[in-house]
Amino acid sequence: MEYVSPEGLRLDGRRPMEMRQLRAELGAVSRADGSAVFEMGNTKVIAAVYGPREVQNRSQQMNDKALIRCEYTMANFSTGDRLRRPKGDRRSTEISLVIRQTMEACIMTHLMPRSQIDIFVQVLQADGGTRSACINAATLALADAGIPMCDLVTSCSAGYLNSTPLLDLNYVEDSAGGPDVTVGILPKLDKVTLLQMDAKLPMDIFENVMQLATEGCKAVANYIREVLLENTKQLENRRGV
Amino acid sequence: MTSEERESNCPTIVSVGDHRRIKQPRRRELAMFTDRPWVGLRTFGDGVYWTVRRWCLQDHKALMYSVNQTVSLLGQVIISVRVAPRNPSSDVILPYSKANGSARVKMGRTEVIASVKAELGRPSSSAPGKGKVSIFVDCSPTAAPQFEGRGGEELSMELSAALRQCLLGGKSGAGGGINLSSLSIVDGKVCWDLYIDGLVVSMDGNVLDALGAAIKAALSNTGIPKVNIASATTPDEQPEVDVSDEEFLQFDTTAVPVIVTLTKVGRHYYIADATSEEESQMSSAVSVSVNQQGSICGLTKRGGAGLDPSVIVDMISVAKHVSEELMNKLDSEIAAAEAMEEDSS
Repeated sequence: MEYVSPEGLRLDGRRPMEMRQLRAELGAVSRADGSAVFEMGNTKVIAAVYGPREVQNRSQQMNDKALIRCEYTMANFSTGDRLRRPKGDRRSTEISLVIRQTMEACIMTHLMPRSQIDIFVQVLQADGGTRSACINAATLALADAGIPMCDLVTSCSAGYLNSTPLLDLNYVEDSAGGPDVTVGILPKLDKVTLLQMDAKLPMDIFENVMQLATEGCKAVANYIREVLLENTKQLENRRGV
Repeated sequence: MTSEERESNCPTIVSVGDHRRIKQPRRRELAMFTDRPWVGLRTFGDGVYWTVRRWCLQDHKALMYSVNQTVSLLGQVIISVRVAPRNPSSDVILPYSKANGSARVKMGRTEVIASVKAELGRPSSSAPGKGKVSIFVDCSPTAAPQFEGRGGEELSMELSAALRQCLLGGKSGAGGGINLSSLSIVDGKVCWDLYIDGLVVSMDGNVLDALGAAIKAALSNTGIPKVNIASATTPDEQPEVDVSDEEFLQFDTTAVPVIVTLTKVGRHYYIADATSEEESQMSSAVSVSVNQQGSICGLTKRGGAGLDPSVIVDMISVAKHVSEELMNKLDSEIAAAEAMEEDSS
């Protein structure tokens, strides 16, 4: 099947190096300490952060830093075929672990010892790149909660189909069987916190694809910064500053 | 309202009307209710939470008593008498392209999403001329941290069961809000299976009403694809069904009821559409589902306190009145959202 047409257009009309449309909204869940909705094209994810609060399970309490917990769940209606998803299936557990490790790298846990931060991510619509959307939404939710972080974490995926590196794969391109590289970076510090790939790629092409994904991450970071600035301005207005 | 005309010797009503205008007592004022040093109070946002400092714990029994006392006193201060439900605002347009119909309803800070998916299936042998509907609710951990892992399962089961009871009929399929015969394609062979999924995204009390409203909105937004049936060669064979991608039949939702929950708080008052602060003080709650004709489609009573039968009858009549208002609001919101969808598409 042709994923990139001879004119250079993908199945949904994008160019190979074009990302899907991003949309973010802060404060969606009013009960949570911080929350955000993040959309990458048709993938829609909602993240809620509760914390820092007292540790529920005393045995897990750490005296020098905060405990980060994360849970990733998909709604029944999020994918094309409605699957009754059992909570705690392997894919959800793996992605929860991945998101937790990624966020742990950027949250200043030593500032909040003996406390717990819960990050809950719920996928409302899945169209490829849910892992990246979840990490971006979690970053926004943590910022909304006012939890100190050393930098934003942004994530994007890229693949290689029809001899072309493609940025931000959607579900159809993802299930094509080609490689899928997911990168998560700290944009200001220019460090990689998450790197995952499935299928195989020759080394030199891998470098290209990873570079492309990193560029995508930086674009997401710019967008997230704009959203946060806009939100701060609104808060200032409300406070009458 | 009838409840206001009722007992006029209620001790402390802070405000009547919109719950956001409740005067939240400051920390110092609350301190006079708690002369126990080990119970602290924190005002956070527009809610009041009490925290217990563990290291002052001397006498467990005394602590429990003081905590209960605080809670009941707080309960009297915070409650407002409000018999009109919060405005439901529904986004019926959801780009959930994979679903046949969907809706997102926000009532105050409670937000729920409902999605309807239709798939082809075989009817059950006991009801060959009817389709099947299954309702399932999921409580997302984003709504509350205690729903993490399997924590939300109990509430999900309770909500799913209550919705099934209100919207679907008895075992034979008769008398439900949804007409199952309209879902049948070929008697005994092919029918539509409707999967109604609810997701609680944000919880601030009165989730059942919001879910009922969301399901009604989602069903009115649902389009069942038209099918062309190829004639079967033999009666035993499964007929070929061709599902059209373009033509859709609107689902008929005039018989779908809405659910109204009345929460009994204190001794004299019922509140419609309780927030979670009000629900924390409830003694019992009655959920009534009422359809457009004003007939009762389902009734559930929750909570441990017993209710006098005359009180229940009164609550039902109040619920009927409230449901008219809710249904009108919901219908106008759905019409507005659908008009917006047509404009934007």
